[in-house]
Amino acid sequence: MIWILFYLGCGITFAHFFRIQFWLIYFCAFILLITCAVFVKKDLVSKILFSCLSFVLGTLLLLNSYILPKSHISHFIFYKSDTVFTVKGFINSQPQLKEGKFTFLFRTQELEFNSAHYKSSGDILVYLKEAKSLVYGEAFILRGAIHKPFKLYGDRVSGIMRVNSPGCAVSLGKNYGHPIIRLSLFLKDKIEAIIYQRLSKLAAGVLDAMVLGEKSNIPSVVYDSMSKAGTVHILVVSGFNVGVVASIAVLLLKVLGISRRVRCFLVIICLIIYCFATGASSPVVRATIMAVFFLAGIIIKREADIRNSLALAALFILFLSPRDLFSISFQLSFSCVAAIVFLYPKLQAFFRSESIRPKILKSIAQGCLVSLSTWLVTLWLVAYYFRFFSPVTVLANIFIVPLATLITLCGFSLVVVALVFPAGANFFASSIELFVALLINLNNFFTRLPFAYLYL
Amino acid sequence: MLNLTQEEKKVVLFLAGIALLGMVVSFGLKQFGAGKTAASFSEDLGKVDLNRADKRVLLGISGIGEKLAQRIIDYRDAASGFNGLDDLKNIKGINDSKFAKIKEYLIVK
Repeated sequence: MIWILFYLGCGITFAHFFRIQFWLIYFCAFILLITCAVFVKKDLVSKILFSCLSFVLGTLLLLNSYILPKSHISHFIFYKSDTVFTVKGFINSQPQLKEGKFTFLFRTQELEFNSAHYKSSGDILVYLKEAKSLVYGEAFILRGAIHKPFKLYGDRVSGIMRVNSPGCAVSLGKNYGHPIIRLSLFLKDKIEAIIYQRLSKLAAGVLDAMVLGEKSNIPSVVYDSMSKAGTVHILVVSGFNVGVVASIAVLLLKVLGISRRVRCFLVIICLIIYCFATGASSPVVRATIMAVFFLAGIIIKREADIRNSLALAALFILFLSPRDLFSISFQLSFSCVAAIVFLYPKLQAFFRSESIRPKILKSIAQGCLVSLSTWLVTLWLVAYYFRFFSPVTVLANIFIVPLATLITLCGFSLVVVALVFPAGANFFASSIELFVALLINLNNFFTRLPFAYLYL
Repeated sequence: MLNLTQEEKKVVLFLAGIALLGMVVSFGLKQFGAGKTAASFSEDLGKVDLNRADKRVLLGISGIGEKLAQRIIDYRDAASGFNGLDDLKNIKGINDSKFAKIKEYLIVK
């Protein structure tokens, strides 16, 4: 699997730098597919052919993602234009309210301008002033000027629309959203309500990021300090969070006396809902797929291989969105896990950490090695994208990661306890306040150390 | 390096074949799924009625500020309502370019 992923990734990178005709590559892929089928029994020849096929498929995937439908909204709009469009569609993300304006992704379906009516597709980012509360999936007809976005907004946003008057947004009273995403966002709202009711704004912002991956309420000073110390990864929903959700679900289902196989199946559903609730970003999709393979292994009584699970998670994401290969989130997430899977065992053998006694020292040494292996792999990416190098990262993570683990566990406990025994939740809330204050101060301490970080 | 069994190779080939077929279908849909449609939205959809809008609604329209919104309301009260969008040109502060900019958001019922 790892090799298929490697050649597929090479193919995507090749297509990123060289513009080639889609049909030419498609023809090559078709010929390769037939040749592979013919030589499937020849060992060496088939190895070479399968490598080439993976490479060509990667190239095709990226080329295909560049081809937009003729009805795509980006064909109708320009970087600077005052043309007023009337667009029908539905809200395709969770609306965010900031300074009296709602911001959300809007999936366009129909479009009208200059007295002509067209079918349309693609997402636009909408800023809507003063409206009633909005929900994911709500259908609207919007009226306003749309212009093309700059690269800053990412690949999903094809246009930016500002709807300045509430009268220019007509609700159609229908809901087009996917039921699973709707349920996930409903649960996310409920969890956020619990967090923000019981905690101070700062602690709630940090916990919201750790538990639900919502980073918009973290003060920029805190975020900046964590970036410099190389501890910002704790504000991302990752495999650990997925593991905690799975553990809580397993525990609750076990109490209800549900059999092991059914329990695994229900946990998979819980994890998929959690994945959507946290925005289905690369790290959480990776962690969810890996967990699903692990649980599916239990259901079919086969042991899941962590390397294959990691490769399959990457293949799944790249098949859906090959451009993710060039996103920082994808690269950092997969390189971190790859470092733990491939480099950590080698460092462990080199430093002979298995033979360290007593056990507590061994655990500390292993924690250091995990931190060192991820730092060694990710420091190049951090230096390239963020233009700084932070030697303090390894040391900071030894203290920050356990503290973040504690906060995440307390956060999930707070949510569960608040639902069944609201009065008891206050104890967890007080502990979280303390831990978050400790985390921020500790992080600031590390960034103030001499040569903690260097700008490149 | 790519140590696949015969069965695994067949599975990979099957999946690759399906992916190639899917790409052709996706390409066809992208190329031939567009065009003008006969249906159109109602003319007044999403537009602000000049004879009913209060100051807050007028202020939401791009190009109308505090003073202009007040002048529009004053004109409406004095003339007992607007007869058409062209009446806006009688209001101080609305020249041809301003009129062209704001008329798309307004309607007179």
